[in-house]
Amino acid sequence: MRWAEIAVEVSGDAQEAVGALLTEVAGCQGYSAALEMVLGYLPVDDRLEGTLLALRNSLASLVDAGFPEVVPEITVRFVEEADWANAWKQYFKPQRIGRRLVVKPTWEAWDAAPDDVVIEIDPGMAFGTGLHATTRLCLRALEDAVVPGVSVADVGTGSGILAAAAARLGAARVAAVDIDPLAVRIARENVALNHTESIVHVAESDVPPPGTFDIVVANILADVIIGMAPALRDALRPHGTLIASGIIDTRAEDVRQGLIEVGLTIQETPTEGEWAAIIAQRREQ
Amino acid sequence: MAKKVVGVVKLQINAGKATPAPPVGPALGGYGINMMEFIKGYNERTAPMIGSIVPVEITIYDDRSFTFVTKTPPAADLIKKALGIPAGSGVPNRTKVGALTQDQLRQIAETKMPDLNANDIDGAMKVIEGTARSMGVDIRG
Repeated sequence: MRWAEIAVEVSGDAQEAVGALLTEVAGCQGYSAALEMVLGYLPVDDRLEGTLLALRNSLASLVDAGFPEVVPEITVRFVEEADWANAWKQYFKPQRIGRRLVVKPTWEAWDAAPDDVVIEIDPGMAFGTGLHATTRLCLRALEDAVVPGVSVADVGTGSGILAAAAARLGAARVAAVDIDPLAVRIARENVALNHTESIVHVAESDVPPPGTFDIVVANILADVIIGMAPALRDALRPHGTLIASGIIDTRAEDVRQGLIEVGLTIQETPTEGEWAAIIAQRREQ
Repeated sequence: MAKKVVGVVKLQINAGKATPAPPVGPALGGYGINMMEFIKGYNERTAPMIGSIVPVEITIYDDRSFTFVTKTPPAADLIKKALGIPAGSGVPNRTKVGALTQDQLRQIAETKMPDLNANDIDGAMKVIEGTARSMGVDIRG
């Protein structure tokens, strides 16, 4: 099937009026708007010519109707029907992170080596696919820090990828929280996908989970981590390790200071691109 | 998590009835995001509004994840609802399909205000008035 892509150059509040013509006059099933352009689509058939003519006339009348900025011209481009629904999958490939961790989308195959720890992910809405630098920094840090039997708190779990990874790396207990109910739902799905639901508990919360943990990972944002620093410290057992991430390099020093102020000892600040993670330890009480 | 925005896509589509067909497919296809996840989420959230067009703004991040927010219905939709007419006029200069009162105009402008660039309610009313005229709807008074 072929589609005619109808483009009208227009910006600001007049976009909606032009869009209304695309749906009302031309019969497009909706439209998309970019900064200076409105785009509508129609199937290519013998009615197309007539529809385009009517559309041009209607556009011209917009000028008199109070939108003098509208140029009553349309550009038509033909596009072939594509498998738009599945096109995105080509961008998600299995990825080795650190020494043993492999993050792979559910539909891809991976020939795992004996030591590989494969994390399955169904990339969806807003949160971590393992492809973002901040997530990779956390995954590498978890690989170093998690030894069998530890307890882990994941604050701002998003997709749940870090919680699932911690469990697969050997953690005995993982408590994950997120402020967003949608993230909580998706995290639970990904936790189940990795058969870690007996180890990982996901809850909706804007504070760290209750209790103390050997490892606390917080892949959020510089300001949130600074604001939450006392609570993150309190969630750590003595000698426990904090992995703080989601920190843009220009704010790394602020976060380091914030963590030092609440009594944590900075151990390492690994970076990738313009992102930093900060690994800190709680001293003995 | 901190992420960079790589694109913002605005769509005006039928509530509860999004599909990968145009305009959704071509608009989002190039960004490599999980389109079905968006479609599911949009249809879920707009199900109570079936029958209206509910605009949506999708923000796409550098890891190909995304978020979306729905916006106020388009002015043309609100005008049709206020007048109880099924469609605007194809020849707005000649065929009139109705007339809005000043009160109706103001009410629609107030509804649309959060999503318009207009500075005040008078500016917003001018924009709505323009949309009305373009669909063959006059303003009374």
